[in-house]
Amino acid sequence: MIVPDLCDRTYMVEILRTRGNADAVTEAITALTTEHRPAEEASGPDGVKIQILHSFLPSTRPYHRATRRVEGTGRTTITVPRRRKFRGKPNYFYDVLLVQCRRDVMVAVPYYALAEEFFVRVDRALAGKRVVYEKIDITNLVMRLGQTGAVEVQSGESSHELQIGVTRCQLAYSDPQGRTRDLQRVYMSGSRIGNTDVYRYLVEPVLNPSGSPLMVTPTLLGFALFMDGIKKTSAVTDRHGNFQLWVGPGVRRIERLFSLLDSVESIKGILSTTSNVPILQSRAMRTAEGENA
Amino acid sequence: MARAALRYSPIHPAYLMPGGAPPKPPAVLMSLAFFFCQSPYKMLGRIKPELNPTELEGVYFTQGLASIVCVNYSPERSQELRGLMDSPILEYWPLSDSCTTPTDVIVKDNDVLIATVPQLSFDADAPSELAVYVEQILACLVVLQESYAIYNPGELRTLERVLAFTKRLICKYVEVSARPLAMENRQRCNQIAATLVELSASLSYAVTQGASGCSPILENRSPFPQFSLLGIGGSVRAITKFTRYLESAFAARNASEVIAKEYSCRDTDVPVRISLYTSGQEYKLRPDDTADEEFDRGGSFQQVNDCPLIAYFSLRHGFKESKLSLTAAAESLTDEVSPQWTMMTLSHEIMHNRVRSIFQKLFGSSWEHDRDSALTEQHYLEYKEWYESRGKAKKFNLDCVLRNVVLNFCCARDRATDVRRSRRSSDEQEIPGLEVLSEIYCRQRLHAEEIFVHFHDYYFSYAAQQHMYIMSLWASWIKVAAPYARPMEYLVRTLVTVACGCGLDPEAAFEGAAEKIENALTALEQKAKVQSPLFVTLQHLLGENKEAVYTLFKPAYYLIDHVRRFFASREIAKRIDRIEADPFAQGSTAVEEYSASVFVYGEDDPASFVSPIRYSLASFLRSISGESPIADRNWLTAWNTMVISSQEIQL
Repeated sequence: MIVPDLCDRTYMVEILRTRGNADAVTEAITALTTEHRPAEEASGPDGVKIQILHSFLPSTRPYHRATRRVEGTGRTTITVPRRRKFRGKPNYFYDVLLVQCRRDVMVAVPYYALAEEFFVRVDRALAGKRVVYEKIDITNLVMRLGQTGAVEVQSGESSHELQIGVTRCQLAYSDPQGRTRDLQRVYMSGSRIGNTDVYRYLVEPVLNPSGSPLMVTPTLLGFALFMDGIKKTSAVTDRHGNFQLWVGPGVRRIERLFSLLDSVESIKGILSTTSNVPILQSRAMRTAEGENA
Repeated sequence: MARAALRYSPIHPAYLMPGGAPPKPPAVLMSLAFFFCQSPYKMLGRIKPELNPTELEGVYFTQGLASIVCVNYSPERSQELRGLMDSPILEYWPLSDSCTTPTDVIVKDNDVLIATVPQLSFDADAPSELAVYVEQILACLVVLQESYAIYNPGELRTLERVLAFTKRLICKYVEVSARPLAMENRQRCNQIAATLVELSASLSYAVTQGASGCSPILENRSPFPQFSLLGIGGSVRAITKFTRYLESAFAARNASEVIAKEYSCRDTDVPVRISLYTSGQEYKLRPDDTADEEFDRGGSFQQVNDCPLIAYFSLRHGFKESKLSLTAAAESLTDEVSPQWTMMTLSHEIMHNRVRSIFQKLFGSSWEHDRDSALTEQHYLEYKEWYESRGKAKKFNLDCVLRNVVLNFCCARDRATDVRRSRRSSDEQEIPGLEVLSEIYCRQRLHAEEIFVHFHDYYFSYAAQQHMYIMSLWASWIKVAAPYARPMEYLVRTLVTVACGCGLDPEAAFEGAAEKIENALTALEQKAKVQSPLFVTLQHLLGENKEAVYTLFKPAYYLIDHVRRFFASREIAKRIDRIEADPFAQGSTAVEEYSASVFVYGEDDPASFVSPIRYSLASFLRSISGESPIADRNWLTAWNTMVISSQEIQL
């Protein structure tokens, strides 16, 4: 079982799709990391194989605020992030998770600032490999989810009832008439905010734009996959393809992200791709992270 | 044999790494492939996943019609990329010892596209005295049509409109010249001829600037020495798109039509005495009842078939607007990121055009309305009646009220600037005669127009962002002469603009605006490190000369409050903001929220649209805040123009 050192915190994730060779993509990314752990395999949506790779990114620059002591393998206690010499210099070692399923590859790292630096390097390393980034049209998704903030999705051959529900939402307000800044942003979070009247009230201008003098735009959306009413995985995303999720020990949640994306993809007009590195346009995610830190 | 003259143009690396140095130019040049893409920004995004690391470093962008240049690509790879980029023409230069010969140049063009250029027809008979202009105009239109069909198809519609406008002018000329030979008829004929001259001159500029640098490159030299090889076709396309963007937003509601058909039938009363003016709820930018703005009420008044402004660069004129054309300072070609040369200044000039049409409608002073005086007898009598009624006895049509408000401002400002400080006699407190009122109007009209323009720019372009607006104004004004000569005038303009729509009485509005100006100037000095002795003068005016400033502030506040109340338009503002389509907007018009980055390329999504206004504003803010991602001003200038030139804007 893969247990990332920093599994108790949220990771920044980008999801790549290649029209070329996915193995070559994975290889190019792993070439940027060190201390590769043995790959693990899991079963993804419709039984498709998922490969999970755990390695480390050495960095002389600290991205963490404080170190912690956690229990490592063999009941030993280690300090994370780990610190040791790499190429003659003391480095911190940060987890890099790489999950490949068909032609999709997820890259996940802890800390926003680390992602800002690493994802750009990944993009350059993948030049010519025909890689694009997946992103979700969150305005469209909010509209599809409607006032209840939930929608049933296709479950393939499975007999389970699958549902996507909203767990977080950040709305930006603009006032084209008054040009005021009286209200700029509202952030909601909860286990299933679609069940609340507050959510219904707040997304009404998104669903029915002509009924409101304010223009309301979702800029962040947290959504979860519920199987028979039980939450299986969740992620937060912005308009540009930045994802943030809690990985947890065993990284099951990141595996299940593929199921979540598969479910989202089954709703038409939601998933698209971009050649731009999402982290370079992550103002909403960064602001939210700062405000919620 | 004469030696070929030196020709060169800057090219800029397209794919930069955050925090990294730009790629080094290749040590050996083996080939150059020129792609004439209409949307280079989008094409850079489209080809990026296909390029390997070496290829990425060989991609450059330019300010010419050959908008993307790939260095050291093979002919086959270039042809492959041409397909991806939808480039109508590919020009490939094989180089030997970094030199090429014209005979080696390979041009691959889209024969089908070039063969299907529709022909412009002109069937009006021009009088002989106009023939020279008509010929020039037609020649320009033909050249531009061929060029636009390949490099800027969105502008073909402009040519049709220019042609239709030319025909209308000639018909008008024929009609007026057939009338008895009188001074006024001759004057109108001359005005029409002058308009044709202006049109012809503007089109000539459009040809020399917009069509040079086309393929074959070596045969189409640009008149700008520093862009002599590839020209500035891309930059001209950018300022044209910027202009069309605002024009298309304003076309949603034609101000002249609203005044003529809606305001002329709507009664209203507004405060008459400026000395007693207190503003109030109905003047607030956001009235509590959330009703439609006055300007948006009534039917649809879409503008159709007007003559779009022809945009080009000029070193002599700098930023300037006239009836049919718009010039951007030539300095903007290389230093657009400086406050004084930012593209945002264009928006101010375009607003002048809008305001001109408002004044023409209110005062009937276009060449279509002939009279000697600046004001008519009717205008005068209506104003007198309105002023003497004190707004109580009778309601007046809104168009008349707006004209009276302007006249009221002119009179009040004239009095305020009168050097005689003695109290006015009872005679002087009455409305002056027509002749004197006309003189006052002529003296003060420009001030009134400027207040209209400032409101439009502030409300529509700057989305009423006060701090940003003040910083932007004064960062650019310290570079021009007029604010040094007349600081009070410029200060009052700024004060009333940021005060408008607050709904407070003049004194409170003045205090609030003065504080905002002081804050913004401090931010300019301390954060943006913009220093000027003018700022000291402003602080002095707001301190020791406060009373004198307030005297000028009050009539201007009265006027701008009415401009706000009757010319603010949610309908137009929404079209300018376009935040739902703009990938960088983040759901907000706040410039600080705008997430554009020089490391991000255009999206293929047809719904994605970068608002030229918001983009320029964000770039401007980064520039004055010292937060530009890279230090190379030429690169940033070229990048900004490339982004804007790539947007699809239909008039």
